[in-house]
Amino acid sequence: MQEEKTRKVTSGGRNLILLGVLSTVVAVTTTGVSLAIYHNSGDIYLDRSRPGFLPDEEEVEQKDEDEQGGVYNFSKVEKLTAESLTEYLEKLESEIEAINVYEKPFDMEILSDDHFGIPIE
Amino acid sequence: MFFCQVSTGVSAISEGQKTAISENCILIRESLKKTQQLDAGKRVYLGVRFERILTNFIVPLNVKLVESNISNPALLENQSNYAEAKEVFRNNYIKYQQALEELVGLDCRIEPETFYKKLVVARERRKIVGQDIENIKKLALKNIELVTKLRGEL
Repeated sequence: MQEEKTRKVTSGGRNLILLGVLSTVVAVTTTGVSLAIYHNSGDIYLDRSRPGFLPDEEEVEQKDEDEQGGVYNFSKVEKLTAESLTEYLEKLESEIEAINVYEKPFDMEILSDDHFGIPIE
Repeated sequence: MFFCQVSTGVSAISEGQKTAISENCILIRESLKKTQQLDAGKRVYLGVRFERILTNFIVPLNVKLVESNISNPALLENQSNYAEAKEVFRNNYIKYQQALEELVGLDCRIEPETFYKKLVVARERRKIVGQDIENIKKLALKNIELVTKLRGEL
């Protein structure tokens, strides 16, 4: 009787350990898959909440200004007229101007030999 | 879809270059990490605007044209080219960042030659990203040109 009770307790303990191990394996696997998707999809390179990648204060201010001004959307225009297209063109031109804030956003100087102090031979 | 091939063949670097890379390694890596941060900011800023041009301007105008029974194949073609260019930019940016990440992960004190080879790859990929941005801007300007012409016809 006593032996049977001990066996039941041992078996319960073993099952508990098995459940713990299984849960850990499932958690590690799903986390691994999520991280792989996060990395391979390229979303990691757009994530500004990563340590060291947080936006500067100036950027946050710029974003606030954008939001205050409201975002133009042509679908809200009811009728297609020369006037509505004039507004479209004005707004699109200002979007392109905003893009041109960076004259050469991915210029080559920053990866040049000169920039890293590597002699050109 | 258009994907750019990047060559990895780089002729051997000189002893002087190897020494310079090894000696400046810490500074080079810091500079690369700073570049990653700056690039992320630019990518998000530009990406938001590129997307906005497509979803708030180009697509709704073409939808409105269809609803109004106005045929304009040039604007439709430009929409498709713009969307494709945006996707190419996205993919090439990921490839560039992967190259940069590999570079940052390398110990340039120990492997200056491998580091330099990977630096050349990262440069080529960065150049491609720059070209992609110019292409998108060109297509946005083309949209302005086509819409100006359409306005004159209304």
